[in-house]
Amino acid sequence: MPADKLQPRNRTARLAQSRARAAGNPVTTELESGVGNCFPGLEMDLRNLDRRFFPYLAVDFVGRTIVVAEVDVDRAVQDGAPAALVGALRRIAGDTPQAWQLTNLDGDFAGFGQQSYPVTSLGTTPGRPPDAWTAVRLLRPGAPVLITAQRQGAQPITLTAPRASYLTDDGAFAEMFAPGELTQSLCSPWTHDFRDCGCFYWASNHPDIVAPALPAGVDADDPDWTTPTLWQRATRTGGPPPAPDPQHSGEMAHIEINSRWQELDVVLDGREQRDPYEPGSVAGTPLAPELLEPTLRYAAGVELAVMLEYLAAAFSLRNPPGAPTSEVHRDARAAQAELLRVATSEMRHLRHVNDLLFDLHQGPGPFQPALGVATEVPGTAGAPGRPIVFAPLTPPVLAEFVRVEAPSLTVDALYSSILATYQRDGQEMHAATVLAVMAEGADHYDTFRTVQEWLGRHAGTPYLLDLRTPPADDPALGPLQQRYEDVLNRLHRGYQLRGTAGAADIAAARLAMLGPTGVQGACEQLARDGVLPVFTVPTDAARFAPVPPP
Amino acid sequence: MNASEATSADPTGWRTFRSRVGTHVLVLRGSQILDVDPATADALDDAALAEYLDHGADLGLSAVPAVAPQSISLNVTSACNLACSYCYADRGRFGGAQGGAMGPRAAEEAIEKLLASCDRRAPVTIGFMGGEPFLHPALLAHVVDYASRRAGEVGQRVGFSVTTNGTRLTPADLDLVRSHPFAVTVSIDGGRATHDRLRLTVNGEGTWDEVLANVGPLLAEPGYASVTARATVWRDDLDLVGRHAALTAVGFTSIGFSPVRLGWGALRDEDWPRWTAASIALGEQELAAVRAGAETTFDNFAVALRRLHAGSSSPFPCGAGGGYASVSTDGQWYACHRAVGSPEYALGDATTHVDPARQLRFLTERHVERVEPCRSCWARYLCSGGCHQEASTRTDAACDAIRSWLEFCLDAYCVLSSERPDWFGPRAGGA
Repeated sequence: MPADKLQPRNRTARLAQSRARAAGNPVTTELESGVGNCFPGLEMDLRNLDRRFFPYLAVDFVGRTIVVAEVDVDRAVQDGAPAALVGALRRIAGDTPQAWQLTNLDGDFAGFGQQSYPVTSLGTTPGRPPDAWTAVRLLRPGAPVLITAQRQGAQPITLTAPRASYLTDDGAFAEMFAPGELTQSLCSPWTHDFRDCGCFYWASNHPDIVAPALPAGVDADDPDWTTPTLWQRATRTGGPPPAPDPQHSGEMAHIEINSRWQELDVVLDGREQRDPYEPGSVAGTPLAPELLEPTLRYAAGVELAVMLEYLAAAFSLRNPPGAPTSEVHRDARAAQAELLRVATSEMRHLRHVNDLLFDLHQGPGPFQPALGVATEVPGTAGAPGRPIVFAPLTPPVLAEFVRVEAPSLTVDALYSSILATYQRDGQEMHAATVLAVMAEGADHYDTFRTVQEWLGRHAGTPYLLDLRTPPADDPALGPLQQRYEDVLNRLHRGYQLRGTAGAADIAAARLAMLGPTGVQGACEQLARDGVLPVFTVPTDAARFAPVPPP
Repeated sequence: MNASEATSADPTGWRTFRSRVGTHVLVLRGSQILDVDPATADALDDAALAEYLDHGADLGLSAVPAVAPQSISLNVTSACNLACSYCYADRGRFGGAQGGAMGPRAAEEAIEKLLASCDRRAPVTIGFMGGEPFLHPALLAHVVDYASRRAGEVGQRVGFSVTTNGTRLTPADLDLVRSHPFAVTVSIDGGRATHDRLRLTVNGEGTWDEVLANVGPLLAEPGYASVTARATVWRDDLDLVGRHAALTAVGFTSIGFSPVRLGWGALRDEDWPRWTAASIALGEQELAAVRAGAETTFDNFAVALRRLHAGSSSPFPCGAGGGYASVSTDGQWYACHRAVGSPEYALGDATTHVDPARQLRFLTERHVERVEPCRSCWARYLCSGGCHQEASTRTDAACDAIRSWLEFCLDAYCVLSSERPDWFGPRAGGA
């Protein structure tokens, strides 16, 4: 049934619809968009793990104290915990748990050995952990811990149990953590650290160098006001700020940044913004209604085509196993990882476009997924397209990848007209899906430019394997082609069923792409054998036939 | 559960209905309301509604939740100064099962137990029932003070509610409810003639003037309190429009009606069609008012519309036995304030105030999917079977009255959500 015949009216129905149509998380939730240079990074407060260091208890670290927050007697009973422990937990649970504090910790503290610490002594006594949380952090997982809990007007209780393990044997977070609990509070970036840690430590919210805020009446192209300057500069008024020197002199001092924190500007488009910011529209010209479906099918074909090109190029990089021993190897490994990440992202786009097509589908007959490779990759600004080419990642090939992903040029221009069409038709959810795809395209563009920077450091192409480009019917390509077709067939069924019904096939397709027995393994084997991975359109199936531009 | 299982377990997983603005589908689980064009409506099947049926199935309505009480009512006194003809509480004595008044220690213990087990993320509510709670104002003041202080200490939000006949409210009582988040429900039948015929002092005198003299200043200056008139409707006086007008005239801005279903004055099968006509007549009047940009003071109607907008659906008609408990004057915990003293409704035993196994049994037996004839009724997650205490009054005629009312509310919801979407603004989730 076409989606527009049923329109949700109240909240639950709208939620059901958005749930069914959600096109994945926004890019801001992805790891690459995270704050900080490690994971989990500043998205979470590490103390949210240690709240549950003692089984069946959750505690809060409040100032110098450890306060009971929750007691899970039921779980202790279910787990068959020792009777003495259950009894003690029950006493706390039945007697205003939040009134109890932990007053003593006894256990094996890493670096300090087997110790018994009154909580009040932590932070006040030399030779002991500097605070209660650090002490808890140092307790060895699995080693016995004895804690004393006290509340005013009640006898103290001692409880003993092994220090809880925060991970399951499979490496997932333990079940005791409630959804959202780990990210319920952020690591608080203290301002001194903001001053101390420059150069990409604060990956997404601390630019070191920016274009200064434009004073009123100054043109955005004014060369005096386009010179990059220090974002944390102390002098923030007067004429154009100077370009930074290598020592970054002129930055706010440590104390200063505490008192002038609020003067740091929001930076968008690389420039400090002090006035209300309005992003430009990314929508293009809407399509005639009959052109939407063929344009989407072509877009799917382009996603598939560039994904295959990226794969071939990724496996042309010299990346032997083992720890990299040279800068070339390090850069090649990083470049390969980024190309594979972008290729994975293109597969997500392929699915999103198929979901959009599914919603356009009107019977009779089942939905036919779009899994044909595009006959050509679109050219820039109406210029003729180019054929699909499998080639090693030479500088010209990489430059072409940058062109393909560039904002408002080739692929992006294709989606901008699709976006405009959905916006014109009031299809908000579908427009949101297209916007997500476009946002990821912008990330691909940035990524490829970074890869250019890495590989550009090396004269010649020492990062490339010496591969021969085989003809399409080369027998060496057999295993790769077979696995590729297997993936296509599984995706075809998964996309056709869509939603939860198609999930098993899509999961199977993912597995068939990865690992030594998947497309990935076949590519790696070819590279070892000195052959560039090349993909061919399956000849015996019309459903995978190449797709021309509309 | 997928859609096909839903079909086998519920012969009616969804139904179509018409409103003044079009044709619609109500997906029962989640009370999801959709618009559908009439041609498509004829061809609808489970497959077409799969995403909505799946969403409904994922709401877990078939399960019996394990929840600790989040709100309690304290039966502060068994005494009442009135002798209303239809009173379920037998003037607070509950047929002899409850006597005397609650002491401060028992109230404090109940509050401590509530605070120890409640969900910290949501507010708790402490209600006062009776008898007439304001016959015991010192205890009320003590409980409000104690609970506010203790909740502050443990970081818990707390609200209060009280149901009163309004005859004993003093200026000090008004200050108490004004200075705290208090939901005050005034039992008042309105207008004067009806009220004075039913709500009598033990000496047989009417109380209309007395109630208005006491409650008037609160209506004029409610402070943190919200005040609702609660009118009980007996079979000889079903003029809801007239009674609503009388209560509006004396300053109430929220007016709810409840029919007597049991005992003296209870509506009989032949009365229910008249009840339906009366409530829809008042509903139409209020619908017209809201369409014209005004507000409605008909509480049953406003609550129903907001619940439909939010898609409220529940297998239980109230929190009894789950998120709600009622504590008797002697400190025993019961599933419902109307059943204090009844062993069947006791939640605890000698060792604990609330025994989860008893809770589970209580709720399992009353889950609407287990109750006949509710389990196959399309309105089951909206009506949820009605008050447990009044289960014996479920007759075809009484249930038809509920369904007809819900049909009217669904129609009104579709009209208002088209014409006055602003009316469902920020307040809409609160119902």
